Amino acid sequence: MFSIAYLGRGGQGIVFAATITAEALYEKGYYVAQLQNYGASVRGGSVLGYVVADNKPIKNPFVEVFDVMIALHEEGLKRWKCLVEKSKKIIVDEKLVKSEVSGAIKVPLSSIAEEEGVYQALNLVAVRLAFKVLGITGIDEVMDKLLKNRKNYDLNKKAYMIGKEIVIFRDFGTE
Amino acid sequence: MCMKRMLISGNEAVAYGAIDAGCRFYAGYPITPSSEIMHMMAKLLPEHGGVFIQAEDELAAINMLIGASWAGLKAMTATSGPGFSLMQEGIGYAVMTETPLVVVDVMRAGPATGQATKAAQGDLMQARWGRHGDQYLVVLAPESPQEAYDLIIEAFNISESLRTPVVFLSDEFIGHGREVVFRKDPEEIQLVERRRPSDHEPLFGSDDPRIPPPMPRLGDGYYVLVTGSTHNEYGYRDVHSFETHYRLVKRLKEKIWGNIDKIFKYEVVGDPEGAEKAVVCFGSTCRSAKEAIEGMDDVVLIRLITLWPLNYDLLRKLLSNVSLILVPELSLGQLIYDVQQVVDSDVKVIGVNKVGGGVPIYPSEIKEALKG
Repeated sequence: MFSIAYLGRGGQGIVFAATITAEALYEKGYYVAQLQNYGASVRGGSVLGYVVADNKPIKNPFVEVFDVMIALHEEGLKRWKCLVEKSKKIIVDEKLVKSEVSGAIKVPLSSIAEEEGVYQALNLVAVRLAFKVLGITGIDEVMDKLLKNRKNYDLNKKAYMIGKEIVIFRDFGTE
Repeated sequence: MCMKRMLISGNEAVAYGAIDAGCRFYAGYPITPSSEIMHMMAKLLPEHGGVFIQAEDELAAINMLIGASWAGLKAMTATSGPGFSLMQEGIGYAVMTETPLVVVDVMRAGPATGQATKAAQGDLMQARWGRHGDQYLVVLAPESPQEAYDLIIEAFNISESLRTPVVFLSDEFIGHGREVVFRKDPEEIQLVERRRPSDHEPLFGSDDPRIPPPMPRLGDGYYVLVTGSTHNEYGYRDVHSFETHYRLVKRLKEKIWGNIDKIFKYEVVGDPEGAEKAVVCFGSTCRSAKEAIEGMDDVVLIRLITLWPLNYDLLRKLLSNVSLILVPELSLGQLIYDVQQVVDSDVKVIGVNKVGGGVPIYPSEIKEALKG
């Protein structure tokens, strides 16, 4: 069993990141469970979206320890401090997460996305990075199909592939 | 056997289950976190020759269900706490007129508007007792999207076989959580249909209260008055006599409680004989509880799938050997009263209560509480 969590702010596409992660893993044949926590507003407020995947049916989707958590905004961090601290691998955006998180790796995800002109699809950069960190291979083809079925394919695809290029120099068991 | 594998939310699973159960009428008013049921029914019903109506409010919706049910259709609505409150009058009318229908309540944190996007389990007592007067119906609660699919079919079957409204208590975690769900083949599903009358049978009475009277469709040609006022076996109003009223409400009660063996569903994990401790739970909370007790030989878990009528005798028996009972709930504690009722006063009954913010009860919290 493994789990991926995305944390951020309403409007960043955190729920979509979890949705497409779940769909990709489902297409790969996994049993998946996807949950999210968000407020009533469309923009702002903390958002947590996560996916649990396994080769057998998932007994309990209420995970306390995530294998990887990617935080794209300060807002979610404070609220889910308890889960952040327990996560096995925590990656935070260098620019958007201002507070210090112990054990976290700072990655300039949003800066790279901005430079490459895909800031709107920052969530998809995070999705590919999560797959990479967990060593999930052979998933790009599935993702391509899923992205093709949705709007803004070119932008999303470009952002997604950027996630693949990000190299983290720490013992993270990358592909 | 050919089951269809899908990645869907619990809300979508309810909609698919309802369609597979033969539901052909839906009226509702959207409310978070139940709206996806409505979206799906709007899409699926026309494809299956059914009728979908977005009502002007919840009061209209529940009353449309009653009309549709009397027209012969299996009918469902879905809502959440605030809308469920608005539907109570209509549900009471459905109890009195013995109208089969299914009301789904995807629970969120309340009272009032509360927290629309956050899961809770605080509508248990309202599901049982939300109406005025002596009224009884059936309340079921799934624990996962897969069970939401399977159990909603059962909800329709019970509703049809007992001519009663059934309340289906889901919650935001189940409703918005997306998981792999297997949809059954139509041939695999056993459906129950309400009994239609033969010539001169009474439509609101039976010698054996456990056997519900038959129900005609409007337009079948039966001379029938459907009234929420006290009525005799043939539907004639009698708002004066003690005997008619007592006989009616007694039979309506017996119809539900007399069939408890058929209605009461539960799951036991572990050995109730050997256990010293127990966890009693319902709904999504049980999934954390099950993980928490993995490998604990001295703990038995009892998951109530049917929340009403509750088989108190059975619960008492299952809990007769334990000295500590945990009742985890996403509320300040409602199910705990049932547990306290069936055990001796020296048994320690502890609530693990958490509500608001959409934070689940985690396995570690149940483990910790089990230490006593």
